[in-house]
Amino acid sequence: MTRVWEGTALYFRLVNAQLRGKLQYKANTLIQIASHFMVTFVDFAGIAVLFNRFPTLQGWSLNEIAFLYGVASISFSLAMLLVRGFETFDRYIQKGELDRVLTRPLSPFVQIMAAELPLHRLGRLGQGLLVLIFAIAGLKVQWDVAKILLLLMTLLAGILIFVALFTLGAVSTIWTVSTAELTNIFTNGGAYLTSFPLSIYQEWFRDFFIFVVPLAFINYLPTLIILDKSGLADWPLWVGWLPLPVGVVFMGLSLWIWEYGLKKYQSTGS
Amino acid sequence: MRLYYEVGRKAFQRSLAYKLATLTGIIVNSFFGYIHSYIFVAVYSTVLVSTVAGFSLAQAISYAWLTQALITITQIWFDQEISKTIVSGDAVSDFSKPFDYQTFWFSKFAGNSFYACIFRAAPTYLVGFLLFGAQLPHLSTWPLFLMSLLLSVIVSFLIGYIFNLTTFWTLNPTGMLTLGATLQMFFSGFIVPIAYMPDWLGWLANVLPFQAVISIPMQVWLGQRQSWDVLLPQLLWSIVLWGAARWLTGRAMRKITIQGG
Repeated sequence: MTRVWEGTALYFRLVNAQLRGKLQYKANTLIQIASHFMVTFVDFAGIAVLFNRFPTLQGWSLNEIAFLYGVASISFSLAMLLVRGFETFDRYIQKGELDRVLTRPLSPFVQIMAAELPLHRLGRLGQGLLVLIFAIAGLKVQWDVAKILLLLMTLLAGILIFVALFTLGAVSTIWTVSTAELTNIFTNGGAYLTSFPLSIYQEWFRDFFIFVVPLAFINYLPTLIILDKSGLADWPLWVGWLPLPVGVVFMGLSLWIWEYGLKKYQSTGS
Repeated sequence: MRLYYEVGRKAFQRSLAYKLATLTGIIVNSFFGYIHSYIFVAVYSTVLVSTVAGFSLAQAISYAWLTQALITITQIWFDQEISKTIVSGDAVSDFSKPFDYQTFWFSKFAGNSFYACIFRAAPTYLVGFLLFGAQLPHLSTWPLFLMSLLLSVIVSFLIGYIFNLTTFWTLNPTGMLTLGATLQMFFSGFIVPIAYMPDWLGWLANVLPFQAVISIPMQVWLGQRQSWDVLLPQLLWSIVLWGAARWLTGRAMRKITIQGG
């Protein structure tokens, strides 16, 4: 446990240094945040335009879709703030930077995570929050403590699952050439595909995102409970309470593969 | 002329070297084609009419796959190659070389487009055709479509080129280029068809140049527009933007000469 605390403390110290560096360029940072806000805003504008022509999306209203979208967008953007180093991990290998990381007496995971702080992604976070507020304002949800807790657990699980996906994408580059675009399917594509109810896709596709890459837990399954929606006929509703255990297990699994990959990398180095 | 042809051919060959990247690109495009198809299936299942804003479900699905194909040809996301040479200073030596700067970059762009057409767009659409019944146009539509596609590549190049050139003045390309690409994605009708938009937004989309990049060739492909006058906005924008790009290139050159003086 102390290792986790040390790692967290270290992460914040490194990130603090990054932050002070970024704030030297205030105007530039602000412009980047604003333009990132615009980019993701257009995404949601597209969905809103769709509802200009169609009354519902398989029984889901615009506000309900906005709820899915907002939750996915918030956890995805928070994860994106953490993982910039993993996105460019193939360069660490190509340039031999990884060797330097490995010789330091600090967790490589924390080092890579703290390598860069892409502040412009706050733009996406802001947009996700706005969409979620819009969603909740227009929906008549009977909020109670359980539902609020479930929403918070869902967001946390979403961060874990997305960070895990970026980690897996990074470690895979030890064995293959750059897989950035394929990782993109699960990360960017994952945030996109979960903006819509999973019930609209085919069964094999849906099952893949429940069992293999558990993106169903970052918003869809818990949302069924929060918004009192009837979900998939072949799935009991209570699985929607499980985002956190699923997130922790998936993160643990990816960390295990990460450690394994780094060990393999060391042994081929000599 | 020979020079520009060689530049284009080199760009084509360079892309040819990245076989794995092409394959993953097709997978990514197909992935989004798949998701969009099922979104359309979901929304059309809740309406009783068979066409919405001129699109039947089959046409909407074709739209989903066609847009994935067209963005690879028109390179809708604004390549930042030009702006990088401006930041690094390489642009200065490019200006002094014995070729036309704008035509040089267009040749590269065209080479990449031609490559994407064969190795990215066609395979992606084939997936949609085989798995989702995306429609192929009637044989008589092909000449008009190819003309429209050619013009869409020209307009797309010019918009991206102009946005890239602003780097000469802003010196920091990221914000401007992201903003431009975002506008282009939305107003070209790539994210949703322009016909779906509310009147005021659709009106705006139709007076902006971006519709020439995706929406017009798309409407021709789907058989929604079949007369040659559909090309008029594309032709108009090609001419206007080519002139604007020329003027801006001249300004950039002058600026360099003064500063370098």
